Amino acid sequence: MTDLRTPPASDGTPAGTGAAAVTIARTRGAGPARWTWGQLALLVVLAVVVMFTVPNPSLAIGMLVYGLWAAGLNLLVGYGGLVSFGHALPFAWGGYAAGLVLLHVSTSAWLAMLVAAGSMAVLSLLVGAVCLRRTEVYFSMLTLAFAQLGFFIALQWDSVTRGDDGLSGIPVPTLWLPGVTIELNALRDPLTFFLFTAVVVLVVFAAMVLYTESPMGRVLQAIRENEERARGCGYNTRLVQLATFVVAGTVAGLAGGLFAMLNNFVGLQPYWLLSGVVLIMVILGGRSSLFGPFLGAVVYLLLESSLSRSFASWQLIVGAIFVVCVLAFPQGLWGLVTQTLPSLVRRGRRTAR
Amino acid sequence: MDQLVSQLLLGLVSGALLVLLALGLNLIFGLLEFINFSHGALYMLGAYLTSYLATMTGDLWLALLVVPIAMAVLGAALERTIIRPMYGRDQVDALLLTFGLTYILIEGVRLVAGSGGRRVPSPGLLDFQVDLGVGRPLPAYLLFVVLVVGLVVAGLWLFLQRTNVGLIVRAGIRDHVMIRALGVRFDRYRTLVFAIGVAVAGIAGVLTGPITGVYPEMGADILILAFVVVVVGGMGSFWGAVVAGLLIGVLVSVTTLYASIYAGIVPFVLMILVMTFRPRGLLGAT
Repeated sequence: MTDLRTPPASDGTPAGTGAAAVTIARTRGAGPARWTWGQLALLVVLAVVVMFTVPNPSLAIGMLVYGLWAAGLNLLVGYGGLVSFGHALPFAWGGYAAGLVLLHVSTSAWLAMLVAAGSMAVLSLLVGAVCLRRTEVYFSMLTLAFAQLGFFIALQWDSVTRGDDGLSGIPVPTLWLPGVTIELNALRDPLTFFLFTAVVVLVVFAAMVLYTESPMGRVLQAIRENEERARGCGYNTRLVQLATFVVAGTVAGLAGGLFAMLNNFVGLQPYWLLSGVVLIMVILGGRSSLFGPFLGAVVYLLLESSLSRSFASWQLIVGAIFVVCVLAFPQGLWGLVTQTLPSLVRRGRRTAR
Repeated sequence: MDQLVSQLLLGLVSGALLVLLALGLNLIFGLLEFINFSHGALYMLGAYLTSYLATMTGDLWLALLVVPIAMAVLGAALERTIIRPMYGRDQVDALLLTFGLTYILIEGVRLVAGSGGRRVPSPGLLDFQVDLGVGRPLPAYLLFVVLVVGLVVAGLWLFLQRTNVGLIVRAGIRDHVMIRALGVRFDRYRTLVFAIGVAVAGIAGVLTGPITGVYPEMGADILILAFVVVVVGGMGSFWGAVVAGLLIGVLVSVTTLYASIYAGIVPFVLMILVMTFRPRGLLGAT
């Protein structure tokens, strides 16, 4: 099998083993070549805008957490062409893992996050090994089934998960930094919590951008475009997909852990019910970048908080927007901004001349 | 012992309903090459139509005739309008489109009929118990359900095997490029197959109503089980879906009797085992 060790990512120029695959990925266009590191700057801007404009602090922090989760899912959906319908599983697992650590072991935020992400990485490896036995529609159905399985276990394993009631009264996590100790109390001191979340999200987001730009990330996109050909180039395609599944699962586990720390609660609701929601965020925001789903998460939560107050069936509108998105704007909101509008402007200029 | 036999028979009934959904999914996947995520929501819609019709007429019979036809028309309309633009595109897009459709259908039903469930009267003609000689006596309606499912399965099989249209459908499943090259107007067959699949889901909805009542989320849970059935039986395999559907129905039902907390998990454990040791499914082609 091919050597998939990733050499340090260069400035985006295809190098070495990735070159052939990059050619495949780039020729068919959809690759997010133009906005790579710019995405990180965009994310900072978005976080600052959210910080100053969203009045409800727990909603603002939620936007960061959901955004991270959606961006992680897009590694599978957009970059890998693997539509997971069960991305609530890693999110909920991370939530329960962090909650249990905080309740029973230690109130260290680092430990909670480490366990949430680390245990999910191991679980992802097992789940992914089964889900990726066959790809495409099989993958979608299997991920959905695994999420349902997890839901049943969380519901029935009363002694650990407290079933229907969920884990409530999770203690406020403490963050030990060299020199200082900070209490991460989202209710009493939302700003600290927001900034802490923003830093974590930015770091993980940067790591994901790095991953998509690495030779391995390029091979992933090549597989999406044409698995046969990528295999023909000598890549172990299933291994690359499995690695991505683990990365996406780990990120979702971390996001779930953050969510548990934010709410001091983990339960069946909403953790297990969000597989569809996070997928909507991805499609709404746009599949062709990592920033798109982040934007999708922010927009979705804004829609939810403004519509749900006035219209009980607001999800009807969300569903309709989603269908229109898939039919008419498969590249989502961010694609609308970066691809459709510029081409309209260009056309406008041409006719003006 | 009596209890076990009764539970086995009840399992066959719920399995039979799963079979109907899985067969529709399978058929649509075979010819249209995408997984219809809205299958569960369409089943729910059929059940709601039944509930209104049955309350109006006081009986189930009219619904059993009208609902499948209405659902077939709806299916054809959906295929012609929003699913057709998906054909040239990535397989994933059709999946996502039908996923969005699910939201619209479920929320639409909630808006019109409310979030609470509705009851469906079971037909008065079948309001008696049948003693089969083994187990406890069963409501005649449950036997009627198995009978109807058997007829639908047999009808679908004969349609696919014995009619010219079925022949073209089977050929299209194997190689639709060749079928088109032979001058067949293939898009008509796609519409037809989608309509049939939706109609069969509608029949399942009609039959379920009197047993469990109807509620907006009824399609979501059973859809996941139908997926499991399709995977376990083997994607695209007609008899695989039948065997796996009945098997899962019986397994869940028997587990409920002995260890009810594991009942929800059993189908998934079976699925993981099948995917690990026989990824193409019990009766699936390679």
